[in-house]
Amino acid sequence: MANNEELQVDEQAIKKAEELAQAASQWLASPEASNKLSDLLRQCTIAAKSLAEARRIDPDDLNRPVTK
Amino acid sequence: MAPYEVHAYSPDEFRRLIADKSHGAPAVIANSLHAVYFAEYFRELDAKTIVVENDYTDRDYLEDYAGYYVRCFAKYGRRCTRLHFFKRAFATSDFQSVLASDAPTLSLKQLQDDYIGFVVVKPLPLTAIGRTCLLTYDKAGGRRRFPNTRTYEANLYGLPLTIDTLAYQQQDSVVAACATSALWTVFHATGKLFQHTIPSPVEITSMSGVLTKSDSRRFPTAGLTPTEMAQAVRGVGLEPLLIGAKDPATIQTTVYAYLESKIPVLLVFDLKDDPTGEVTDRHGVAVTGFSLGKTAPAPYGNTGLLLTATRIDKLYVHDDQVGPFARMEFSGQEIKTSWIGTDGKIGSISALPKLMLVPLYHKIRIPLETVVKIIMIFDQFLEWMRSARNSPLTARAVWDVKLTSIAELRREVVASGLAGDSRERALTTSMPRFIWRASASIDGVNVFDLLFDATDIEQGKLFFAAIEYDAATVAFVKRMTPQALQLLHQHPPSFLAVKPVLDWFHP
Repeated sequence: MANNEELQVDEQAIKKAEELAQAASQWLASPEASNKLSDLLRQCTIAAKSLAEARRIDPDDLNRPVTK
Repeated sequence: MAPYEVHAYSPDEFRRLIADKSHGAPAVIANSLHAVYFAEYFRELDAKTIVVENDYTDRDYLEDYAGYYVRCFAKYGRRCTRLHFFKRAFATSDFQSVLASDAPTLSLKQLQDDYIGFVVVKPLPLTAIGRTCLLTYDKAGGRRRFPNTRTYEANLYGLPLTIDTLAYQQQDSVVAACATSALWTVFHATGKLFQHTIPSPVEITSMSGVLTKSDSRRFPTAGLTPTEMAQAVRGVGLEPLLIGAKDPATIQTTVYAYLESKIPVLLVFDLKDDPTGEVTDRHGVAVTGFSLGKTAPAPYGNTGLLLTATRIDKLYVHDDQVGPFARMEFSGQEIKTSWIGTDGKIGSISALPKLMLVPLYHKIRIPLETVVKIIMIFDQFLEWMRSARNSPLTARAVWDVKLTSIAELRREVVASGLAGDSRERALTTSMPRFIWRASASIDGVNVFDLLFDATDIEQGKLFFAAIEYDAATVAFVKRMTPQALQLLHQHPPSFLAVKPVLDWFHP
């Protein structure tokens, strides 16, 4: 019984999500949405560079003894 | 000499025993940072009794003894002493009754329940702390994590005692410097995990390639370079991954991702005396735990990606100059250590991180950075969907990114409460042995896991499946994905790494 109730709740939630997606998809088709995604992805390019820089090892560090 | 002794624990008694059994100068030992640290640690563990196991043969010390000390003119002993600690008060007569099984006043269960571990005391005057296996700090409701502990057995005169921890020892400054001690700890974890032999300190120093050095003596060792440390990792059949440690987020994400899969990380840093600002030496420690002390993750990079790992406020490290599970606390770009600075205060020396070394099984080929880049792009797509009017994505996703294995993943799926088709699919999908698992949660609810093949090549597809937990969120993402895929093709090819993930959600 409890499983059936949970299933109903799930199905309602999915239906609601799909209705919201229907409304949202109208906005996603707009040029404004396209520009927004371009902005967001541009940030990824900058972030990837700083990610790589933070992980870069100074070659001198590889040959300096860890002594203490 | 009696085979064993039983003493009531006190910091003074511990220091006296160390000095007595190592033949060291009591004043030197009493004033060492180890003495201060162990006193604090045993207070936390609530130690009450010490059982001294005299005339103990320790394999690691014996190898070091055969490799160096046996040829010294001075007579250094070949046997050690092992001190066992219990958080139960008992007397010699109680312990004697257990061994004699003569109306015992203590049970084996009581001894095991109250066992907090052991410290091997080497017969060396200044560097006496040998193999040490002590309980970790309390887990503090899951805030403190020590994922790479393993079970050690200590047979005390036929009494089988066990302890879950990771072994620690102090460098002897002869066959081992800090780098060797840190590697020794790391190998104790990987040896069990990846099935390799665990070398002694003298063997690690030898494997590092210092034997071929032409510019200085081999022993006493003056320390290892990261290149030599990497060589020692290859010596046990693993692959060394060296990563720069230029910012706290890189350290947090790396430590979290690998430690959660039971792989310890070796951290190398410069020591800075805070009172004078002087940078003195370069030091290495094994990171053996962390604390998720921050309530919320900090935005990572300029996209604002939220990673659970950035909640780490402290690392716990096996620091051969301090003790096991010593705290290191993030403070801006630096990390506060437990070292004593020129002002005589504990914690007045900071660490300036330089690099990390991760010992990996050869099949773990894809680094964390590659997966984080894909997650970062996909997270931006989620943010784009969230910015739509009426979006049900009420908050930004928080990502928990860690390495895992097929067995561990399936164990967690079984324990997760996931039911129905998603569960069956998650349990029966063909998977590689090592997997990068990126779990997304929104408002504290786990919505889906993205699974990446950690054994693939960088040019490969990497992503192979998702585990869907929250049907409503997944339904929304699926409805939005076709539009996302259309727009993806209008952007540079570098973003195509995310396409396999979007393809999964394409209805």
